[in-house]
Amino acid sequence: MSDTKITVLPISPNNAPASQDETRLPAGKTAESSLSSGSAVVGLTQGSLAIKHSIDIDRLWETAHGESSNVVRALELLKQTADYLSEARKNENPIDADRFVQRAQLGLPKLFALRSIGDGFGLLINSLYYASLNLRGTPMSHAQIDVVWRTLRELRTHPVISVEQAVQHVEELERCGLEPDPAGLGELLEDFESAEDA
Amino acid sequence: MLYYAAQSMHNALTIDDFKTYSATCEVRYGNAYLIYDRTGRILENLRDSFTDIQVVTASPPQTTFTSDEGTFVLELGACRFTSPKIEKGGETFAKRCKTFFDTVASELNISVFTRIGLRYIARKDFKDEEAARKAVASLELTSLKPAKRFNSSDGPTEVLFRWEDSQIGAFVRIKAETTSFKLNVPLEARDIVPNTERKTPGVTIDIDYYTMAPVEREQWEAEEWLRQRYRIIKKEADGILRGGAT
Repeated sequence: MSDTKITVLPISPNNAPASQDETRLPAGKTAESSLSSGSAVVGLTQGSLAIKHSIDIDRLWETAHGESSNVVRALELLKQTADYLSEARKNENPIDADRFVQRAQLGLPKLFALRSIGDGFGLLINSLYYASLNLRGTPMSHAQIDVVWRTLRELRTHPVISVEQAVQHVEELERCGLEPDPAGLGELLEDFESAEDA
Repeated sequence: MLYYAAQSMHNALTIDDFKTYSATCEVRYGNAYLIYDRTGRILENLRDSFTDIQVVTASPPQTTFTSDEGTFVLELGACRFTSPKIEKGGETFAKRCKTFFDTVASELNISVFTRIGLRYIARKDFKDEEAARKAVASLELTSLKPAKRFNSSDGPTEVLFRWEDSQIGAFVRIKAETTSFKLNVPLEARDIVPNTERKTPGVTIDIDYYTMAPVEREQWEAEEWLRQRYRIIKKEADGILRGGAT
């Protein structure tokens, strides 16, 4: 039996086999070599290929059976919603496609309740929710379905999306003719701007 | 007969019999050269969330600092937070980690974490070394029969396991050991406080749960992830100690 001196910590990374990679402890200044494998991966993950090599989001957030959390619930809902839109995209018949879009829209209020995941997440879900309300029953075009589907898929792979990234997606929603702001907000802003000019 | 009685007693070990020694969360990233400009700003920002921050060592690529809540290490390619305490659900620890890692990632412009690891170390004291060793041997974690090997102890004193795939990895080490706590008092103060040394035989369980594939910053929410992983660590550790239950 070995005596482990605790003037540092009882288990130092040096006790483990040298080839093994460990989460280092405060006193583990000696395990520099374990960084080398990580550095090699960085080269592969930067730039446009980054997403290809990232961890699978479902594996990152995998939970024990019966356990859940906001992120896990959001990932499930986003998958379900994106799947409905995926069906809508495949459907040539506009009535059937709209039926799937309506099912997808039902998921948005549930996602709205999970917007504490992050500011970017909240912004995108709010925008999608209002974009859907502002259609006032008008069916989405195929181009709009595509954009919303892509946005939801992006949100599913990056649920902790930054506000800057989220704004880019909101702009994309606007470019395809959707109105992601609450009705009346535009008029309020115009009033505010004209009041400031005066 | 006595052997079996002792064995069944040891097999009753659960993770709740162990006392947390430390919990560490570490994130690694590609070299973040902004560390040379922004370490001070990171410390300043953290002052709002942590009590009595004190720098222990500082060099351009590595700064170690402490607070009442735990120890921080900030390096060119990694940073970590260690707390000697972690409450049952891990909520406070997870919150503190989130504050630290969010600050570091923002200030150092980190967009990809090459590795995220949560390491949990706990100990159970035993009355002597023999009892600690028997406790490890009785867990029967491998199919090796307890026997003297290599002219050394009667059974293994340490068991190590690692599970890895392309995405997630975990490492578990269970070890019988005597931990020596030593307080070295400066010569001139020894009349007031004598040097102290205490040896405690016991079993240490050391678990490291980590990602194998790179994690984009926009995939990871530290607080929720750490709470979940802590629960998984406790559950899996309990299963292993109870004899392999999942």
